[in-house]
Amino acid sequence: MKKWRVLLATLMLTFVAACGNEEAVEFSDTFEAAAESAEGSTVNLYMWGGDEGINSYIDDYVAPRLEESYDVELNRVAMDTAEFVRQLSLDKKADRQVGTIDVVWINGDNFRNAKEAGLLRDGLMERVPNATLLNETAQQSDAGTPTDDLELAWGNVQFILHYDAAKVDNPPESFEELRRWTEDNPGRFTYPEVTDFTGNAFVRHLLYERYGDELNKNATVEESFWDDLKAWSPNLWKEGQTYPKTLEQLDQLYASGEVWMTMGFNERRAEAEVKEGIFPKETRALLLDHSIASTHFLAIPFNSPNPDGALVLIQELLSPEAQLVKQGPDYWGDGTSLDLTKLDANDQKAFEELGDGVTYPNSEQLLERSIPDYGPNIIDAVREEWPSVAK
Amino acid sequence: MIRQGFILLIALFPFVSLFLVAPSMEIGNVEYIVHTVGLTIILSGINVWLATTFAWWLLWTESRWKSVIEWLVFLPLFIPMLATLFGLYLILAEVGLIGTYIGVILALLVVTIPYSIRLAYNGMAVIGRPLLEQARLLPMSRRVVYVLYPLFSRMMRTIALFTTVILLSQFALIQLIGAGLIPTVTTELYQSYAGNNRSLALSNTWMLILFPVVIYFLLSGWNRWMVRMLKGRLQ
Amino acid sequence: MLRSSVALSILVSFLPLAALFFLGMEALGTDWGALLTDETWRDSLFTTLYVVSVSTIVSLVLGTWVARTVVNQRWRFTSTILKIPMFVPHIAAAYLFWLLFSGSNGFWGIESNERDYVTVILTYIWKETPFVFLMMIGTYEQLNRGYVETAKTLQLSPYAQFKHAEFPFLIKPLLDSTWILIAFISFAYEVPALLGVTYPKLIGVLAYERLSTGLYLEATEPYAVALIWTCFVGFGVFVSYVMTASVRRRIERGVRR
Repeated sequence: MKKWRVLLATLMLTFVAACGNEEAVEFSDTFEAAAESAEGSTVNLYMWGGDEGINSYIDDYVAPRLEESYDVELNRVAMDTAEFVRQLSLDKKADRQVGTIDVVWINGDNFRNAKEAGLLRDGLMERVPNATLLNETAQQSDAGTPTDDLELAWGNVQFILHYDAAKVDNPPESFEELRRWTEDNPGRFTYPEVTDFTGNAFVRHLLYERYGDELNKNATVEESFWDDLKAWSPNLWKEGQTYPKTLEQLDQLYASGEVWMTMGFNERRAEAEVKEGIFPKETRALLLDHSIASTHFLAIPFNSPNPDGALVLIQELLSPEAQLVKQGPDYWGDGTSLDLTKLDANDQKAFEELGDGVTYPNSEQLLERSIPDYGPNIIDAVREEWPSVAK
Repeated sequence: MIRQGFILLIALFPFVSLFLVAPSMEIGNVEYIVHTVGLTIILSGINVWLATTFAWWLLWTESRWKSVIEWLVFLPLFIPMLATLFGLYLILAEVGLIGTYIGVILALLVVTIPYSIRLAYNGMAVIGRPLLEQARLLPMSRRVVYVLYPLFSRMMRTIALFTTVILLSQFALIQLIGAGLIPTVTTELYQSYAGNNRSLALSNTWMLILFPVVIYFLLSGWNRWMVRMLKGRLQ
Repeated sequence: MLRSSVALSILVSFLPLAALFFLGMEALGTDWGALLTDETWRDSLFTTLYVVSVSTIVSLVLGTWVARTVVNQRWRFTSTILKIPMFVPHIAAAYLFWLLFSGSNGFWGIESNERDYVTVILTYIWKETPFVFLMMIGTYEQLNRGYVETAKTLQLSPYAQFKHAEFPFLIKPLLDSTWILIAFISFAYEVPALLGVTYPKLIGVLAYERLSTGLYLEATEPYAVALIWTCFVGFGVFVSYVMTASVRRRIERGVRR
């Protein structure tokens, strides 16, 4: 019996001893000092990992460059955004000052939540030299939430639909026509659940069609809007009994030809998919009445174990060369977050020469129909009230 | 005969799916496979050891706490796993084990050990106390090597197999407790289920299904070899 | 050596209980009244109860029947094959069924992702029947044939034979399997997430999603639901075991002697 107690006591002791909370790791004073202290370290970048193109941009292009120019090893960790935000909030609850996450890819309501819960470090503008090149409008607010220097813009995209021109003869030109198109082609259209980033945005486009800017002042959605949306159901995929859980599932339905349209942020996203033969060959862009412009960001969590390495990584990701390759068709096609007028002539020219792809929309029209996003409270409202449509 | 054929057909039918689409054969990064193999070996080892010793103790103990402890150990079987997960995170974060191998092993141990103990206890109950009682007369090392090991080898294989399957089923747990730093076949490939590449998802399914099969045959071979060797020594 | 590993097992088993305690702390501020009247949760609960009861009952009946037949008929090969589905991870099983029943290649009119959760139930039955089978076959193998012979000699009906000569010995493994299945199926995520529908979701999926989507980040509801459900299962376990305690004890003593 004695041995027993000794053992239990030792175990308890190790538990208690390990509980002594470590101090959070602080930034170095200047970027040069940060780059020096980060040498030879590893930086953990947490990001949504559902797109091969994006993953290989990070693994095959950014990681070797970072290793070469700063001697910093990049470790990409694939995790859903909401998941690492939850992880950080649990860390905060447990007062875990030295965590695991160094840089996160974040925006929208996830950013709002992280900001409200105090999960992110501020003062990024002054610490990352390339931040001066950023497009100021894009940097200012994240879907209606002021960024307050807690995150830096990484990319800038717009919402767009894609359709298979081999099957759709007369593509609709407005959301109203889209609705009528679903009546003529039952079962060939659907959108992701509103817990999904893209699905929620689709519903916000419909909200904009009805309310315009007004919703920003008075954030109440009438019951009749949801009734109208419910009227779409019988003509949707599976008669609206169920919706794809994620954008990837919708893409899968589109790739297999079960539905004839897909959608998403990033007007260039279909190019690589078509090239690789995943999307149908005749995939074309479909620009309706308006298109939400969205910026996505990079941020450093409060308990980053290697904040200096994080700064170095962000500096690299915001460099004109890295941004150029990101926008190009090779990996990702994500729009740059930099202000082109702030770049030198050579870089500007390189961006202009990137040219168009077959699945790109008309860029002038796209810019014309661009609208700013509603704030996070509308995203929340859609999440809260949409389930009545799915019922 | 017809009944038998029907049962077999139903048991095997869903595997048809595996051949509906051609799996993709590319395996880029082997890190997650190494992790999975490592976790499987360590966890199976710990599980077999802890479960067998615990069941053995439970079989013979005269402690008046016996029934309480028996309940305590079996209780986690009835607690939904998702429910313990978040509490577990808070505990492990407190101790600083998030994102570490030890933390993940501990968390996986929590979900596997109740099953293992139950299997071990049932296995021993089937052999029955009388036979085991005779074994107790032998000295420790001989007892274990010549009597208990051969008797328990099948049960141990089942425990190892169960542990592997449960381990391979964990996505949320490994992702959260491991903070994404310990990718396994399941976590690394989970995204492909939601992704738009069916053949990639299918090759992952193949891997998830083949893993336990390989473990099973390896362990069976090992058991047979061990028993033969022991028999040889006895002669 | 033995002592310390026993202590370690106990310590590990303590962790989930401690975790439950933490869960309880998280659930403290919940508005319980609102939770009960929330339609989304309520619909989820009913659907979950339906899925859980159908899959558990069918698995139990099938598993027991197959175990009985396999032992009586000495089908060794079938017995080996039958265990195979058990060693397929749930995620993989769900994907196999999804491939079979999804989209336009729905099978025999059964399609995945529909509100009756047929494919979810089928997946669980396929996965859990072998589990029940494994739990029962040990019992059947060591079942004292004498009782069955006696029952036959007394010319009892087949049902009465089963009831008096077999069933009492099956109570313990049946109870164990029942509650393990209920606890597992009711709060699982992977299978219903892949094969289920948008509304109503099974309770495990709903809780997990509410914890991981922005709006509900600070919400205590999912914790509360997890806690209530655990208590509910715990209560069921407690009552059913207490009620059968005397019968089980008698059987156990009989077997040992």
